[in-house]
Amino acid sequence: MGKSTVVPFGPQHPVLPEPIHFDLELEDEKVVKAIPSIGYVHRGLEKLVEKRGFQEYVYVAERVCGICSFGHGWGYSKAIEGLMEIEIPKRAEYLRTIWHEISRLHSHLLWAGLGADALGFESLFMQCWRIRETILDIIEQTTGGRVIFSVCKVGGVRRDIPDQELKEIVKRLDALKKEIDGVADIFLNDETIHARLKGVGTVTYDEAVALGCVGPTARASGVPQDYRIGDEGGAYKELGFTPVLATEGDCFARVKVRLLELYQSLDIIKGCVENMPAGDIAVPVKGFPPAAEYFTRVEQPRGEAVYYVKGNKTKNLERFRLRTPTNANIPVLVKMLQGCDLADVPNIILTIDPCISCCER
Amino acid sequence: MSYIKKSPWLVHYDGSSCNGCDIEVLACLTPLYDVERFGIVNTGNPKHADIFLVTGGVNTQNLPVVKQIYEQIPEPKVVIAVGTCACSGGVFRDCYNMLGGMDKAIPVDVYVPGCAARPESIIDGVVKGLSVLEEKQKALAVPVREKQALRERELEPEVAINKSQEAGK
Amino acid sequence: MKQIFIQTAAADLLGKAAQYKKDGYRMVQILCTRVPEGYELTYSFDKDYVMENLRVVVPLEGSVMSVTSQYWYAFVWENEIHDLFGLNVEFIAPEVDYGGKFFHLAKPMPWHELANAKQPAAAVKVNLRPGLGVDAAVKPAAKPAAPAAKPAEGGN
Repeated sequence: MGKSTVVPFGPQHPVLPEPIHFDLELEDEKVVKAIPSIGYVHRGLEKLVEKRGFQEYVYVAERVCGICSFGHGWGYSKAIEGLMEIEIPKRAEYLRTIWHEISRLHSHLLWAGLGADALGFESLFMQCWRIRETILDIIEQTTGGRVIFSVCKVGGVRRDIPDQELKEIVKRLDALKKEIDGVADIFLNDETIHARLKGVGTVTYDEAVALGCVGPTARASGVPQDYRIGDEGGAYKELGFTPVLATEGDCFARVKVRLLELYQSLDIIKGCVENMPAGDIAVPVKGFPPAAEYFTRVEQPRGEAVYYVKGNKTKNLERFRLRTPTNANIPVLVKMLQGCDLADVPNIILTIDPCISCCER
Repeated sequence: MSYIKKSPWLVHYDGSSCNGCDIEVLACLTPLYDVERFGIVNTGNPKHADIFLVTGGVNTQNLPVVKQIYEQIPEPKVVIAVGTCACSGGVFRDCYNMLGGMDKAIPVDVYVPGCAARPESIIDGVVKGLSVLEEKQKALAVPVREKQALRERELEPEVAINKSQEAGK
Repeated sequence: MKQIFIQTAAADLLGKAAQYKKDGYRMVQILCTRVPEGYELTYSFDKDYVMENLRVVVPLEGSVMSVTSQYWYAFVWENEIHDLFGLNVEFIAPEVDYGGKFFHLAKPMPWHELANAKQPAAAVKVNLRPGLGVDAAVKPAAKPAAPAAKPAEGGN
């Protein structure tokens, strides 16, 4: 029988960008049980629909999370458009897809940098974020903001990207590919990273299904869970989509899936630009949401996010609910932390790509 | 900016932020904006820090946490509230769980607005914070002779009392 | 996206969840809305990207059985519903029943009360001017004769 201790992990920790608290019950160096405790970032913004009009609320929905910001704005707009049966122009759909894939690029590179920082690989963290600045430049050029885009609205998008500009963006992203190659090469081939991530936090295919995880966490265990396959409308259906899968299910497999998704996003953006339809970018929205309800989903960088809206014929919605991917990945995290070493705890927590502000809203 | 006199270390904590300002704070450290060339280091330990960079508003859960981190930072210290949420609560100020901006928890010296605050604004805020830090340092500085007398009184009270009696004679 | 809502009694919930589990459905989320009758719960299940939603209405003082026996990971949403809404969810798996300490909040059960926005504007009676009947404010415009008759009655 080893020595038992309880170590509080978080909310302030050098490796965590956001506050989350775990009480880790240890026996010597092994974690026996992990008890999560959340609420540090809980703002209660779902109740804010009662005070803000349904069109104004897009700005609040975007600020649920700064990293997955565009996805939330898109999901909310899509939910209201489904509720009010508004059909947006094709060009708006393609523009939204381009911005969402650019958002995925920036999110995965951000995560790669933070993951490297948690391992102690500071120079890799700096390089990942340096590459990310090119993407933020593109975002700023097309939307005006680096982090919060504010370009999605109910009925379409607020800004257009001229075709000439789209072609230039594709050229810049092609030049970026070489730099991503350099970073991916280190992540996938470095001995220290192999030693620290391979075999750590393994989740088998059956466990992944039984624990209901989503996003790259599930795809790294071989579960083909990606809402972009099942999306009934939009650019993904027209361009065709196959998810990136890995089979080992450990931390290294999750790194691999996210890096390969970077290349996939570059291809999707190119496909959207080549097939970009001409036309309007938005339709006017008249009236109030009916007394009905609507579910919609978006595949965020971290996984599938579910948006639910319920209208009541007034300017304010009755209910808005957002089930974020990190919310669905907490059970798998609790399971993974059982039986791991104390030194692996930050790596495991970072490999599910936690976005605590999304999780707690 | 007196970059030779001090190499300020900063500790960063996210209150109830959406992360937007946090990633812009981290972007300041990365090669494009690079504050590390001024000697500014992002440390994880509040006891090693001079500057407290805080984002997001305050809710009852993180109120004691923010206060505890603030108390752990040794004097002189500067608090910089980054982002509109830290200044006043931002878009979330009507939410049921939010108490308001960071000044509801700790005294703030510099307010950096923006949603998300741009790295240029954050660096400007840190530079302003450094001049506040210098003023605080001057106010805190105790003359050398007084410091010596204080130390003597602590270590050997009888020797100190005799010395002062002799000086008085 | 096709919206499928199936009304279910609270007693049938566990049986239906077990059936979904057997058929290979994945549980997506549990949603709670505060309605005048109590709580409206929606359990969403997904297979091949088609989502089916079970709708259960529970009265205010009532409780609902936990589905953690079928879907262990539902504990996240069940703890959240208990902490935010005050709904009693019974028999959550013991290792993940956090007893109200999962979500820390300023005010306990902030969603327990019904929102004020539900009051329809027509129900508010407004006294416009003395002599004008109180009902004049909500009288429909299609009956011009009626308001003319009212002031005489109101004045008396």
